[in-house]
This record gives sequence, C-alpha cells and structure tokens, in this order.
Amino acid sequence: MLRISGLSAGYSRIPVLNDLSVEVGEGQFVSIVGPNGAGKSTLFKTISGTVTPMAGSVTFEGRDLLSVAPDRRPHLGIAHVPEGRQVFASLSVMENLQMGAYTEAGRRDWKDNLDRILTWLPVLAERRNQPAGTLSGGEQQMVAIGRGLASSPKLLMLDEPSMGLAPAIADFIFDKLIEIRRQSKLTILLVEQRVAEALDSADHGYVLEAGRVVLEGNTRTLRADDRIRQAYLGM
Amino acid sequence: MALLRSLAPALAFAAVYFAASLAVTNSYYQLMMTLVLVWAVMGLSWNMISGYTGLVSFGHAAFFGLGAYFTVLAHVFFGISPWIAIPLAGVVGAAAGLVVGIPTFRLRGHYFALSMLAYPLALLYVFEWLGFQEVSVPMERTSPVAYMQFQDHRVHTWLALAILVGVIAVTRMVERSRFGMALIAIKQNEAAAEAAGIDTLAWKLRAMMLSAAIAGAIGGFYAVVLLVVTPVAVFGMLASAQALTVAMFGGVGTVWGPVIGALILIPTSETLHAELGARLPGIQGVIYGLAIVAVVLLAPEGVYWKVRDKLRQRRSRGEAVRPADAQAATAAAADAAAPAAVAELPRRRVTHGRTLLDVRNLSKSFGGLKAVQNVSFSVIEGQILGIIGPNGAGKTTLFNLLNGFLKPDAGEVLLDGTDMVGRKPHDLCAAGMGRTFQVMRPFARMTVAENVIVGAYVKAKTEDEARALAAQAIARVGLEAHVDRVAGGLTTKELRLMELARALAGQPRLLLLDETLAGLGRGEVGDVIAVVRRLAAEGTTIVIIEHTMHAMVRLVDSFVVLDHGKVLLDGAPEEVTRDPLVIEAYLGSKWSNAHA
Amino acid sequence: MIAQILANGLLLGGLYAAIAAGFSLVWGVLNIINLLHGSFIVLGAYGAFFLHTAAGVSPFAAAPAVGALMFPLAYALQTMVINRVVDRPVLITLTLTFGLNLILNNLMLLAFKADYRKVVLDPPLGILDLGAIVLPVDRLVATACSLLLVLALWSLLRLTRIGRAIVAVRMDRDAAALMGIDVRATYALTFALAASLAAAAGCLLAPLFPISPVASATYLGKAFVICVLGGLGSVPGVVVGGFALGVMESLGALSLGPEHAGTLAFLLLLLLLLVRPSGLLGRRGFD
Repeated sequence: MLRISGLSAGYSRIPVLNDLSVEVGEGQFVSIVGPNGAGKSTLFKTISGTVTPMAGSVTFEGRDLLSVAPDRRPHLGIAHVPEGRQVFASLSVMENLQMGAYTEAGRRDWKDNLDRILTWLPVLAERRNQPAGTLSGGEQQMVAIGRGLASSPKLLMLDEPSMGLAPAIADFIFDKLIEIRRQSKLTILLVEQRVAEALDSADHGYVLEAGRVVLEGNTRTLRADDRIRQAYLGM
Repeated sequence: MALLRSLAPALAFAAVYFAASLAVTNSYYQLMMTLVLVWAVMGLSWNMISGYTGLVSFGHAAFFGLGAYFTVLAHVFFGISPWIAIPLAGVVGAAAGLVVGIPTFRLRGHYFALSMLAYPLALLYVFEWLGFQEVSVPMERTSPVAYMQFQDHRVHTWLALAILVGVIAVTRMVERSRFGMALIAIKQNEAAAEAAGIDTLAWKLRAMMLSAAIAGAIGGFYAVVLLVVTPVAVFGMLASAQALTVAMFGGVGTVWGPVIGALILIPTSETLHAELGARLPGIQGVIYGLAIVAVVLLAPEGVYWKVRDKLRQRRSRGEAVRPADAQAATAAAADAAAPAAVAELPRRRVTHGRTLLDVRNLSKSFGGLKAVQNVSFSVIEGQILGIIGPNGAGKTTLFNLLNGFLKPDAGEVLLDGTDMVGRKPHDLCAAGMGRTFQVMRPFARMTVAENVIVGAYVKAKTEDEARALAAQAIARVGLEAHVDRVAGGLTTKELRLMELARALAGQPRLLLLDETLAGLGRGEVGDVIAVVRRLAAEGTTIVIIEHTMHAMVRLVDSFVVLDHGKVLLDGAPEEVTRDPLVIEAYLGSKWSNAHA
Repeated sequence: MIAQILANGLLLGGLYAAIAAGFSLVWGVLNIINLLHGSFIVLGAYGAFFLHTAAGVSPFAAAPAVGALMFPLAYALQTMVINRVVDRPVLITLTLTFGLNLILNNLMLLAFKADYRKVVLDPPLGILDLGAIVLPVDRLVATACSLLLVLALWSLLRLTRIGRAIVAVRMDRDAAALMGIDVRATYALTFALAASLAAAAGCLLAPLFPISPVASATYLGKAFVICVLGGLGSVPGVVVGGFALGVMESLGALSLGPEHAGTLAFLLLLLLLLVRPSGLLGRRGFD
C-alpha cells in the first residue's frame, strides 16, 4: 500500500534520513522504532508533505505521493496523527472530530465513522462538548486518533502516541489501537520509542538508528534481538 | 587610522557632491540637494536601530518631529539660535529614544511595530491640540548667519553634507566596535546574543538613543531649511515612511544603503510632487509605497546588497569547486578519517570534589503540565555530567531553567553557592555559565572569528583582549583553519565546534551543552567527544543534555536520568544503563518484564 | 444623562464591531497585521458615497454590494502579492502592508482629494425619542446592520465548511494541513472576506462620519484597540471590544470634549501596548 524507497531527507543541510526504505502492505500493522533523533518524525513529515525529501520515492497505492500537494494527501486516505497530538485546543471534542472529517470520504461516512469512533473511544462521547485543550494528555491523544479516524483513512499513521503519557495510559492507547485494527482492518503505521509496546502491537517492525534501518523483520523475531537494547542504551 | 581609511569613500562622495552643488544655481534644485542629504541622514538614523538590530521602526517621525519643533520653538520663544538648538535637539531626541525604548523594547513583533507606529501619530495629535498647527521660523534680518539663515542656499547643502559625513563616521565607528557587533548579533539571533553575554536590552537602548539623537538633530536642521513646521509634515506617516524607505530601498545594515536610497528616491518623488503635486496630491506617497512593495518582494535586503551579491556571484563563477561540493568532500573525508579520531584518551572519572553547581528542588509547570518537578542534583568541579531521558521527559525545560531563559516556579540554582534564579541569560554568562543551543544559532553572515568574538566581550575589556580570547577559544576546539570562513557555509560539525568556541570565549567555569552531538555522523560524534573531553581535562565543568545514550556512555562521568519531569535515577553510566527503571523508561514497561 | 451616554456608547460600539471584525480575522488566521484595513474601510465609504450621489442608493443597501465588489479585488491582492511573503517574518509582512497602504491611501487622496465628504440622507431618518434617551435613527440602523454583518461572519465560521477551514488554520496551520485543508487558499479567502467586511462597514459609516483618506489611520487604530480589548481572533471578542471602546469613547467625549474623542483611542492603544508587553496571547521569550 505504502512503499518508501531510497528516501533521504533533512532540514537545511543536516540530513536526518539516509537512503531509507520501508514498505507497508494493505491491512498490515507496521511499527518503526528507534531512539530519539533516529529520524522517525522526519519520515512521517515526509509522507504527509511537511518535509520535502532530497532523494527517493514514496508511493501510495501505486501512485507517486511526492507529486501530490500536501493538503491533498489526506483526501487520498492518509491520516496523520501528529507527534504531540496537536488537537485544536479551544474547539470541543466534537468539533475536533468534525475537523477530521474535512476530507470528501470523511464527510460521506461521517455518521458511521462517528458511531464507531465513539464506541471505540467512549471517553470522547463523555467529553464531547469540552474544549480539547482542557483534557488530559491521554484523552487528547484519543481525540487526535479519533480525528484521524474521522477522515475515513485507508492508512492511519501515528507519531509517538505514548509521548509524555504515564505507562498505564500508554498501554491503554496501544490496546485500543490493536482493538481498532482488529475490528476495522485498517492499515496502521506507527512510530514509537517505546519499543516493547510498539512491537507487541504490530506484525512487522523496523528499527531505525541515525536515519537508517538497522534491523527489520517479524516483530516476534525483533523482540528477541538484543541489538535493539544496544541501539537505545549504547551498551 | 583604519577608521579614516574606511571614511575615504564617504569623503570622496562628499567632494563630488560638493562640486556638483557649486554648479547648481536654481534655488529649487539647491533645496532638493539639501533634502536628499537630510533624508539620507534620516535613513542612517533609522538604519542605526532597524538596520542593525532588525527591529523595524515605523515611527521615526516621532524623533524627527520633536527635533524640528524643539528647534523652531526654541527660536520663537527664547531666541535660541539653531546653531545651539540643533545639537540640543539631538539631546531631546536621545531622551525621547530612551523614554520610548524602555517600555517599547519589552514588546515583540507586531506589538513593537504598532506602538512605534502610534508614537508619532499620538504626538501629531498632541501638537495640534497644543495649537502648533503651523509655526514659522522668525526671520533674523540683523544677524542672519547667527541663526543659520543664508542668502546662498548652497550653504545649507554644505552643512547637510558635513552632518552626513559626521553621521557616516559615527556609524562606521559603531560598526567596528563591540557596539556594532552586539547589534548585529542581536539582529541575527537575539537568544544566542543574550546567551553569549550580551545585555541585549542595554545595547538596543543605546542604539535607539543614538538613532533618535540623529533623527532629532536632522529634524531640527530640516525645520531651519524649510523655515516652517507643521505636525503633518514632521510627525506624519510620510516622514516615518521616508526614513524607512530610503534605507530599505538602498540597503539595510550598511552606511551606503540610505545614501543610495535617498539619491534615487528623493529627487524622483520631489520632482513628481512638484510637477504633478497640484493635480495629483498623493503622488509622493504612491511612489514610496511602490518602492517599499517592490523592495519587500524583489530585494528585501535592498539595492546595495542585491547589486553586491550579483557582483560577487559573477566574480566567483568559474572557480572550479563550488562551496557545496567542497563541503561534501570535507564531510566525507572526516567520516573516512573517523576511526583514528575516535581513539580517545583514557579518562579518570571525576566523582569527588568541590560542588560547582547545586540544583535544589527545581519545579516548573506550563498550565496543567508539570514539566519539571522537584529536580535536584549537583555537579562537581571538572566533571562531565549528562542529563538524559526519553522524549518529553523535561530535559529542555530543565536546561532553560538552568540558563535563565525560563524562570522556575520553585527551587534554587546555586552556582558556587550563589542563587542564580531570576537572573537574565547575559548575567548568567557573565557569572561564568556558558551555553550552546540544540538548534544551532550561528550568526550566519559573520565569519567564524566574528561569531566567536561576540562571546568574548563578556570577559574582555578591550577589542584586542576580545580578539585574543576568541583566538584562544577557536584553538581549543581546533577550528584555527576556518577562522575566516562565513558561518553560513560551515558543516554541522564545524558549526557545533564554533558554538562551543563562542561559549568558551567568555571563559565560563560551567558549560551547558544542549544536544551538541545531534545531527552528527558517527565519526564526527567521536571528534566532538574528544574536544569536549579535552575541555573538561583543561578544567571546564560540563553539563550536557542528550537524548541518545549511545555516545554519552563514553563521554560522561555521571548521569542524571529524567522521566516525566522527575529525576528517575542518577549514577555512573554502567549502573544507569543496566537499571530496570531506565530500561523501562526508554524501551517500555513490557520490555523489562520480558527480558528480566 | 448616564443612560444617554451609555446608549451613545453602545450604538458606536456596535458599529465598531464591524470595523474590527475583519482586522481581527486576518491577524488571527494569517498572522498579519493588515495596515491596509483602515483604507479598505474608507474605500467602502467612498463606494457608498458615490452610489448615493450618482444613483441615490441608500448606504445601508449599498453595503452588501460594495462588500461583494471588494471581494475579488482583495482576493487578487492576497494571492498575487501578500501570499508571496505570508510565511516570512512578521516585520516583512508588516512592511509590505505598510507599503501597500501608502499606495492605496495616497491613490484615494489622488482620486478623491483630502476634502471631507459625507452622505446626507434625504429625507433624514430623524430621531427616536424614548423619554430618558434619544437615539438618532440613522445610527440605530447602522449599528443594527453592523451587528448583522458580524453575526453573518460568525455563522459562516461556525456553520460552513469554509468557515471551519478558516478556524482550523487560525488555531494550528500544520494540524489544519493534516486535515486536508489548503492553507494558502484559506488565507486568500480569509483576506478577501475581511476586506469585504471592512468595505461594508465603511458603507455603514458613510452617513454618520466625514469620509476622507485621512480617516483610515484612525479606523486602523480603533480596530487594533478593539482586538486587544476583546481578545484576538474571536468574533464575540470583537463585539465585546467594540462595545467597550464605544462606551469609553462616549465617556471620553464628555470629559475631553467631543473633538478629542478620537485621540482617546490612540492613547488607549499606547497604554494597552505598554501594559500588556507580552501581547494578548501571553507569548513571550526569544522566539
């Protein structure tokens, strides 16, 4: 579904991604893990169009994504739940979800999507009229995920959903992702620094270090590989 | 001597202009020749504050108008001659600059610009309200020369020429001193300037006063030349616009910009005004408006820089190696040579000694988010301490609390026993705390040597001493070969080292490094680590923040691990990396369970 | 007496809401201080003046038409000129609108001269005598129209897809782009909408205040004060800020004399700027 090959990207003259290749098949749940500064967020920004790559290609359903204007990409079915959540703070939870449904598909399926989102994330129903900025970090993350789902995506990309969350809440979010994925058959691409949770949730994993893929494979095999610990802790 | 040499072009210009003025007999053209110089000086005045510091003033008419009214009213009411009143108008301007600057420099962006826009308009209303709608200069028939009234209007042109040369000389002097360096540093990067020990507010106030003094004096002269002042003429939007336009059009941040701008724009608009003004009353404003729009869209730095860059391009074309390629080559070479460089000296860990920095119960919240909670740790003299933690752990906030960019809600930061909480970054720098930035903040147009010298002023009393300190700092990081390169063309590693040198130039006892290893290739990391270790060996105490633990394990004597704004653990590198709590923070809770 | 002053202030304030609405919108969404705003208002007032003298159209009826005429002009100006620097630092955009305003303002001076003009309604609308207070009907109508305009803007932002895009961009450009919103097109739309509102507001002012290019700076100053008083970028804030300034001015006219009521806005502007150094949003620091 999503194919990234030979991608190099960065800010001004500092290259962050170096000849990176990643593939996500339809219906797959892929996790990309790696320590901070490995280039995970830059990869996402390249897919959604905030960062223009220096080399390489990105195709989505066989179509060259780099030639599509960034603001058209969500309309193709790519939802990006950004790092740090970026909810519309002074809008209510409901309005945030409506904002997510800005895409054509999102408007078409609004009723069904809303039902499903509120079933998966019932806390959003409870807080529907509360400004998103007043919610806790975990609740805001759910708003961001709900907002992404409201666009009727084919591919849901999540950038560090656990950031700044207490472990129990992060676990809850990951469990929700697994549940959503099981029930919706949605394709999911996740980047995370919490290796264990990210790999437990996914089928396939990549380990990034300094902008390169250093390990790749089935998540169960990766889980057992001690090189991951070395990548993170240096010894 | 150097100053005199730098004035040679100005003197040559003055000579040509003087010769040209001799040939002009028509009194209207004589007036225009004077006005060109008046607005060139006004542009230089604007340039002093806005060109060098980058804070655009839309209200320089405030100072101009005050000077003009002061000079005329002093003559009308007290019979004071302009020969005395014009210098005094400069003093009035400087005072106004101080009064305006103190509250206004607290504002940023839009707010600064809008209040600058509002001052002259408010003064315009005040002077109308006071009943000074139109004040004429009284004619002195008995001793006209004593009141700057001449039969021959060319004398005004010559006087204006003298003022212009004087103002150019002052500007040149400023440019060459630490004053000018401070202003340029502020323009390029105010935070970096502050961290390099520059009291940015004090320098901006000085620049504002000097600028306003020039505007006030030339305003007084303008009134004498035109013999009449009205609030609209001297406080109106057009007066502010002319100052801004001649400088922006000609070129910002150079003495020649305002002169070029005035030479082109003033005759154009004055001629159009004279030819068409009766039928087309707004024509002058339209011309200035067009000039501003054209400059903003096509050459935001002004004609002077545009032309100079074009010329340089032409000259450099034909050189075999483009700078970008050269850079790539050096970077590659550095990477290839890396293994050799990584061979580090064995280092004995510093774990005992006198405490240099003592952080006690530091807390900071943003809204409901407790970014840093009750953090305590201490740093021993000569130690390298690493602060680590996963993304969002509060490292950057903690760092900004230490270096004065943020104020804590509670807690103390003791440097050598003195509490530093509430001090500004430049104060901390003077007290011996240097810092670097995660996102590098070089002064891009300045050379390596100039970048580093900015950091030396905090310790140096004289220019020579500053230069010596800078050279020494550059040598300590091993950048001697690159002193004359422009910072904008350096590689990431060289920039990191240059930032280190800039922080070192102020001879800090404690150096705070913010992700100094970020964005570096493997080999480069080794090089920078070697430099940092050498600095520590030479006696500088170092606190470094990093999120990758990798390189840090080899570098530091001790770790402080942050998670969720709290200290999770502190201790020696081996202990920390094996601790289940740390593994959990980095790799997730399920990891430690599975691998236990 | 106090009731009358309050009534005057509220009438004035209702008008001010429409003056400031577009300015606040552009500031909030594009992060641009649009120094052209005052001139847009004056241009609208001239539109009403000429429609009235040439065809006898009531300025209140002219407001929608003049507003609609303004829309394509402003849209073009935004896409062709302002959009080129919209992501540049604040001072660049500010300098650009400063220059554009010099051009527009002086072109108006060129075309219409500096003389003060006024739309004289014939027959006059008279006054509404409520015993304790007396209300001029022309002001009443103008204020009602103004509040109607602001209400229309508010509904547009709340209820339409375009409006939601504008709100999203105002809050977070990057997040809005992730929702599939074309940020640049939204900028242009917002700018054109704001200019239309300004021109329509100018029509409403035409029968009440003298029309001259010179007045544009005053309107700009008022718009700014209202934004600072009421809170930036919110429609209800503009109404609150408008009423607050209106009442303050009518109280000021009582103490300083009517001819200096306008000066009050300026003094207030300076005062507000100086006591709120971090700006309204509390943003502070070195970035």
